Amino acid sequence: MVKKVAIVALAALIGWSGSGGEDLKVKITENLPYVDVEVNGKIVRIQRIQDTEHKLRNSYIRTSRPAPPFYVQEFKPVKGIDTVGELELLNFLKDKVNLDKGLLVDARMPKWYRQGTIPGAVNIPFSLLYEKRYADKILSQLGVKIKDGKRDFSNATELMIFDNGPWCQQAVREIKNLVELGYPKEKIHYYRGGMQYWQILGLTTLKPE
Amino acid sequence: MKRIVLTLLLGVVLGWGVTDAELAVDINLAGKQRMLTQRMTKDVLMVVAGIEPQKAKEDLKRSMELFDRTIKGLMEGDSGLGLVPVQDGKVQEQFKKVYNLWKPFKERIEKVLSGKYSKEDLQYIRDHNMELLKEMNKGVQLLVGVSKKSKSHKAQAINLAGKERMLSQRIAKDILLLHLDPSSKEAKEDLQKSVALFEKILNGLRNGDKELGLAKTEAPWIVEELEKAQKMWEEFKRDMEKAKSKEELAKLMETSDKLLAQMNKITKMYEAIYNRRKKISSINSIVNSFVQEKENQKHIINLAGKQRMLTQKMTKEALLAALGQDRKGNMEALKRDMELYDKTLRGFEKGDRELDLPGTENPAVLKKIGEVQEVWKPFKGHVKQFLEKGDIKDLSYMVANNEELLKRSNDLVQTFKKVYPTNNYLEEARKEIVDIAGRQRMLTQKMTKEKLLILLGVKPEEHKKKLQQTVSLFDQSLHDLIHGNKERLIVKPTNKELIEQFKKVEALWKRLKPLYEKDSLSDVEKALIMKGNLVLLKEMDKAVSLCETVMEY
Amino acid sequence: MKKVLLAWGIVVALLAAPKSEEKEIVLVKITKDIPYIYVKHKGVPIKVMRIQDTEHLLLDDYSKTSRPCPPFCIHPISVDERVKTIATVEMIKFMRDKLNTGKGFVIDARLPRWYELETIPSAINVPFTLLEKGDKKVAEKIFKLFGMRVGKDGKWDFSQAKELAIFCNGVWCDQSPRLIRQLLKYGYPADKILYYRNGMQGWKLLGLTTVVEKEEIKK
Repeated sequence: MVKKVAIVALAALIGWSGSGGEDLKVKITENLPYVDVEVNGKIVRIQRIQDTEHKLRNSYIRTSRPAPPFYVQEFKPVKGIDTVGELELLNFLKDKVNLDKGLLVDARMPKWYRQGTIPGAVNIPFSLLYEKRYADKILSQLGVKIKDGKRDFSNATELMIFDNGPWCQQAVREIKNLVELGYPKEKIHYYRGGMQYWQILGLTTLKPE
Repeated sequence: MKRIVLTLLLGVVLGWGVTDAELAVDINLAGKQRMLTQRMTKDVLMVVAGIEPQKAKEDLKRSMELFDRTIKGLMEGDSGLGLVPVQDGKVQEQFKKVYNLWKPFKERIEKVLSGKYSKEDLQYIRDHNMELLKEMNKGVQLLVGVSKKSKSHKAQAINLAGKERMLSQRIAKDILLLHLDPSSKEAKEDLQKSVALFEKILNGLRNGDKELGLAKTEAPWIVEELEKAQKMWEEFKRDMEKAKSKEELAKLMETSDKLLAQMNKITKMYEAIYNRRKKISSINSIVNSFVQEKENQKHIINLAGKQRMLTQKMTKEALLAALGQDRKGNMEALKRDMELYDKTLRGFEKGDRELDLPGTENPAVLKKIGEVQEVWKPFKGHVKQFLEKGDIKDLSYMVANNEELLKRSNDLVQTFKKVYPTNNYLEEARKEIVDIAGRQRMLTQKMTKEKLLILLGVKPEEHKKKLQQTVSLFDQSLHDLIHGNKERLIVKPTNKELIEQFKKVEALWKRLKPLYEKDSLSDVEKALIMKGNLVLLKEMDKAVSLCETVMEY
Repeated sequence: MKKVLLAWGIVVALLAAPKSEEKEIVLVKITKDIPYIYVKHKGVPIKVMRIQDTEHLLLDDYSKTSRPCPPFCIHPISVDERVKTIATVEMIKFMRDKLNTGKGFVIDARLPRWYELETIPSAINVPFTLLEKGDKKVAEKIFKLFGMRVGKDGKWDFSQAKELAIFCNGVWCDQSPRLIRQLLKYGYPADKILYYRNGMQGWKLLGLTTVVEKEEIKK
């Protein structure tokens, strides 16, 4: 369910600050009606679908994907990596992503990503990190430096990583790859709910251009 | 070829010396230097005017040291500050110029700090702070030029929000100058100009300003901070009008510092958006080139898979020609398929632009290609002979050797798969399915070939047995692909498009299967097989590519 | 005991399952090593597994996206930093290793009306409202059922108290967070409480077996 993206140019005209969102019937939490994030030069508003009778009707209500390979993930699939929920992710967007202090990473293969993702996410397919040549290039974009022939992660960006949801392994594999490459565990978070929980809560998704 | 060029291009683009992030640090700190020139001057004036002189001295010392370290860092690099020297003659020349201006300026400041300063020293600072500012600003502009971002609205916002930091200090400096020397026309004019500019920029950031090249700021979190800055500025202006006493001036200086801190915060927010966008676009490029490479590899494996089918198709076509079934058409098809097989095999090794093949230097692959060539060269020779003379002797050679060629062609497919692992567990899980579906293509040709051999009376008993096996393998595999097979770990497809395609294949197969199994065929039935096997091949081929590409199987 | 109406739409699939357990191939497993488990619900053994029809869609009210917030707001990943949050795999393992060995209980914190409509097999119903009334006697009664002992001095001894895996409707439901907060208030050891945040919705999104006591048209 790709919800129409609310571009805030309009909201700014009517004086968005403070006033917007209080009248929403379906907020995120009582004190958080919505969250704005910058995507490719535009401000995208993340909020919930307001039709209280709305039901999710895409492939994310499939209950029984064959397992193998779609085994259900444990709550904390990688030791030392913190699992987060929707609120933690939204705060991450607000406090980290918008200020370039963190990246929200969609770990799925590009064809999944292109179907719709969480606004503000960047796509780094998990399978890319298996290949050193590409992994090094990506790491350098994430603030990893090479010092005396070794990777230096002291300025590495904080990452929050997700995939399709609890039955998907793509994020977990990405996280394992990052840990293998030496990425500090405390700089990685796992949004286990993924696209499935994001959409079952009616939160805004975005088709990347 | 398009794919190959793309990959090369990317390599060039990604091969920069100084990264964007590093350049952004240089620009930010160089930008801050402008502000420092004004701040230091303001601090000197506070010392002279006796407005919180101790605090001013401390701040002056810090600013002086930071300015000194930064200008050196811009020239030589400073890992602590994250500065990397930009290798550009003009930029470095400009920084050298600033440094030469800075040295005598710094000596005067040190004198102020030590308390042993003369009027001349103060005059020197008053006379030269603007020059230092101007030259530093030139350096910033050159850096911005290097990053090619001068045209972007957002970059302009960073630049101008950054400039506000400097202006806040310059205004404060001018106020102090006027306090010490109320008759200074120069200070009065500069103050008016600076105030107007500060206001214009702040307004431009909030509402957009074409003249300044500023777009209206939309990010709500920045808008919020801009509103705060606006309030601070209004307060500052109000106090500025009436500030007379030292206390009032001290408060004004404090507000100017708050304004500086606020504008600094805002500048960083603009920078964050800009850096983030750059970062994402670089990541997108890397991911795209990765995806392209993987697609190239899949393409190679797919072509190698098709080679298997061609071995059977060629033999079938030779047999049809010998049987006199559309002799001309089949001879032409045989020639085409022979050339395609040959071209593809060579393409695997040396590259082929038309086929989008890059060639290889991988020893394992080269070895396997050599093994295929061993069988293919004589095979090709006989095909050529057959095309010229239609001699049964050459046909017999093909009949006797096509399965060896098939086997070796298959070995090459397996080698490619090993060399180009997918690392993608989703594709791994699907590999079995794609493999079985892919083999079906070859089977359509193999069974037709075998049927023909029987019709021709070539070892009919042996080929009847083979045909039976081929038909039942095709039959069973198709059944599994459609309905799933738990033991073989074949999942029943859920994708609508794929289900439709399999149904199409199944319908075709239902009509053809009895014909393959029947002992004697009428001419109409023969013609049906001959046409039908190609349609079956085509539809099966479509199903294979769907198996590979659908998102959810 | 009330007659348990075993009307689990989902379990129908099981009736058709092959008789010989060893040979049964489960295409939709829970984890690599766990194709299914058995638990008892009010004395009746129930096989807990996932719907095997790979095309099955969740169409009931648990596919609703937008219950009004407030009150149905999204909850943080954790109720209290001392209480562990778990997901479905841990819930299944809890059933196998704790519930089935008498070391723990699965608790449905919702109001009885919800519980009767549909719940997770083996769950016992402890509505969150029971403890919110602040009646210490009620709490003591419940905790005794959980294995708490009352000393001669009347002091509560939780050393033998069982582990509790607590759930409600899902991430937008506050019934289990409220029950957990009450438990903590009364001193139930935090390390014996687990919060199954995904709840009924998460359970059903994976096509896991549920039990329905009262057949009733869902509102």
